[in-house]
Amino acid sequence: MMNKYIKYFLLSIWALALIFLVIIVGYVLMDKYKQDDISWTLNSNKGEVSLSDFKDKVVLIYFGFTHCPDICPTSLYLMSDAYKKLTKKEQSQVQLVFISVDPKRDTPKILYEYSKYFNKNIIGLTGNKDLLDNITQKYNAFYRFVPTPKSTLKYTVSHTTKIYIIDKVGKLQLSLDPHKQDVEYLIESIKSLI
Amino acid sequence: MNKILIFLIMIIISYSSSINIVNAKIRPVPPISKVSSGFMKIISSYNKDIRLIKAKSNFSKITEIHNVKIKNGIMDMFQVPFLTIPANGFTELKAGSYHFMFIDLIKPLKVKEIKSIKLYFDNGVKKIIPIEVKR
Repeated sequence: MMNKYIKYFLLSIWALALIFLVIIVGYVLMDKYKQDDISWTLNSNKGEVSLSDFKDKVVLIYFGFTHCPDICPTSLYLMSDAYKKLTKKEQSQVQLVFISVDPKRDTPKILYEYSKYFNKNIIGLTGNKDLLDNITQKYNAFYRFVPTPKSTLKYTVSHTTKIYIIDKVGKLQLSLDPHKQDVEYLIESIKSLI
Repeated sequence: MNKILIFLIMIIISYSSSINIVNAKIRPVPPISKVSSGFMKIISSYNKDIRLIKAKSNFSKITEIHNVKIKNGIMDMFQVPFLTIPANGFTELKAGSYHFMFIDLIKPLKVKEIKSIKLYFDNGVKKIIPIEVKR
């Protein structure tokens, strides 16, 4: 009789341990899924564009704003210079994306005009605050509006200055600092993922 | 021809005083853009520090002095009231650091165009210098 109780007790312990294990594994997998989720859908001048539209392409993403005088043009020129040095075949496998975190000033139309100046392959995108907050969080990127009451600009935007590179299966592979890396490094990084 | 002559005269004038400016350039930006930035190296042969307190350009309604700081991969940009040029030294306005902000561009900038900018220093010196639109 006693043995039976011990048996039930041990079975219960095992059952509890199993449930606990399933919860832990589930949590870890869920967390990993969240970390891996870098998807987005944003607005271009021609409608909605999603990251999933660029399957089988290496995607370079830069977060910025058009009133940014320094690092944004530097980064877009860098992305464009790297793209121009690829062969036609390689170019067909690459997509450049500029995401504005300043939708108040940067409409999809303005972003289209702005982006194409650097390179016709660059798609200019933006979205509402909730969308941008969600996306930047996924990329571990940051942006913040900073009032500049003495400047005519009224406000500026502090933001992460990295170029994010996503491989052909939609996985974030690396992020580069445009002030520290040269065009050759960027080209090699792109080619390694084509 | 006249533009080249004006350019040469401006260069001669800029080298004849105790403040010299080199590598002055305006960053080319998309025609739709209403702002651009400017860079240069300001060299002083004065025996004491001087301050650049104001600038005016002939291609934007407003010219401001700004600075950029990049920390932990995040860029902060902010306006500064003046720029100090050390005695017998220089201060460089460059990408990722101090720069001019040209706000409300009067018309789209074209690469290789030569514009002008007037610099005001706290010792009363004013300088008009040529500045080229180039990367």
